[in-house]
Amino acid sequence: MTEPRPAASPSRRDRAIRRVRNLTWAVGAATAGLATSLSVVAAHAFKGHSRQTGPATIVAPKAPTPRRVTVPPPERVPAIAPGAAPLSPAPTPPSAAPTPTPAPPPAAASPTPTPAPAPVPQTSGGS
Amino acid sequence: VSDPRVATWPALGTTASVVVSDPGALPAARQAVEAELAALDLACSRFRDDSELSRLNAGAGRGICASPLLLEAVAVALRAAALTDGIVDPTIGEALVLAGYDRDFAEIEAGPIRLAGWRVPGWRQVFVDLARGEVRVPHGVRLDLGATAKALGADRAAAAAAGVAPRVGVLVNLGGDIAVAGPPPAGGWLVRVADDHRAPPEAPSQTIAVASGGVATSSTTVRRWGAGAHHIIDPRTGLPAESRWRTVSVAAATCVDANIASTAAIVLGGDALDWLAERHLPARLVDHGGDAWTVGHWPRERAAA
Repeated sequence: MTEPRPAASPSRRDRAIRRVRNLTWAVGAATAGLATSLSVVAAHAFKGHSRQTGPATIVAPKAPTPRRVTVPPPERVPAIAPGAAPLSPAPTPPSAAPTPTPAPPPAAASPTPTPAPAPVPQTSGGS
Repeated sequence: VSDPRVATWPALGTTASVVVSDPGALPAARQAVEAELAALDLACSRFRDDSELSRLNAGAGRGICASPLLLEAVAVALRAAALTDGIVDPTIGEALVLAGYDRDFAEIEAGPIRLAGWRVPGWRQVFVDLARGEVRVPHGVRLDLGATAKALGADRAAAAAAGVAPRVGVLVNLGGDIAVAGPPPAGGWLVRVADDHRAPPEAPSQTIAVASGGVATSSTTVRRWGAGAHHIIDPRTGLPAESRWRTVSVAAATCVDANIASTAAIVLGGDALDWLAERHLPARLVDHGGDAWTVGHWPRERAAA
């Protein structure tokens, strides 16, 4: 059989209440400090809109300062194209073919050899 | 009777010929031309799985380290596009495939096809780094170098043949794209212009004489399939060009320049007359009625007897 616990004295009860109050304040302060710290970190990590309030206004973007940049040539433009030499006519234009002449009668003894006849014409046509 | 100064053989899905002024130079000249064409085919063919161009087109946006020949061919194609404001554009490859020209022309089956326009991506999509030897096209972009690579092949082959046969005149005819090099024969090389490079002698044509440079002819009357499809694509529509002209022949300082101009003229249609005149390029344009128009110093046609 156990004896009943004696009732807490008022002074002990006041000390207990003060410890609980201090603990609550400390936890609250720590929470507030942590929240502030995280807010600062988040604000730096994710840049948001400016604090400007009021009606929305359209602000023209600031024109970039012109500057010379070197852009590599487009990959898909063939390198040959820009320097393509124009189509050229032949130095000597074509001429009318000579009129065919009948073969001369064979000579008995020709002192000079007769030149060979021109090769037969080659045909340029679709293929 | 075969001419000992002329050799002809099939190449690049068409016919190649080399003509020399001295028959003794023919074997070496032909060998040089064959080597050039073999290299060109390996670099630029759209129909060979092992070509560099096929590897580039299949790269899905990844660049390839290209051979000097493919680099040159792509550079020539881009120059053509730049000089024609994109009228002659190498990024028509997908449009050609959609139009039905998806394999070697001899294998295309006749029959109706349904043409659907394809937005041509444009030549500015092509990335070339000449210093590093890199070429890249974005995913889904397919290059076709056919318009200019054959002419480049004619120029290169003529120069190569002249290089192995000094003081000998050389003419190379690659499916109608003609380039000459070295001293020309007296009176110049005779070149007959017609709708088709295989045209029979009785077909409408004109014969001219050229001393230097090249001659190229573009025509909508050849490499046709389906109902009205042909190989000259208008990059503005992604469809075969509907032109006022059926055939355009141009003479220029090189076969490449002649080819660029003749292809552009087909696509430009009625505007081609002024366009060619402003560039002082002699040209002959034949409309669908068979009337021939000439520009610049193109020689007059001899009146029919």
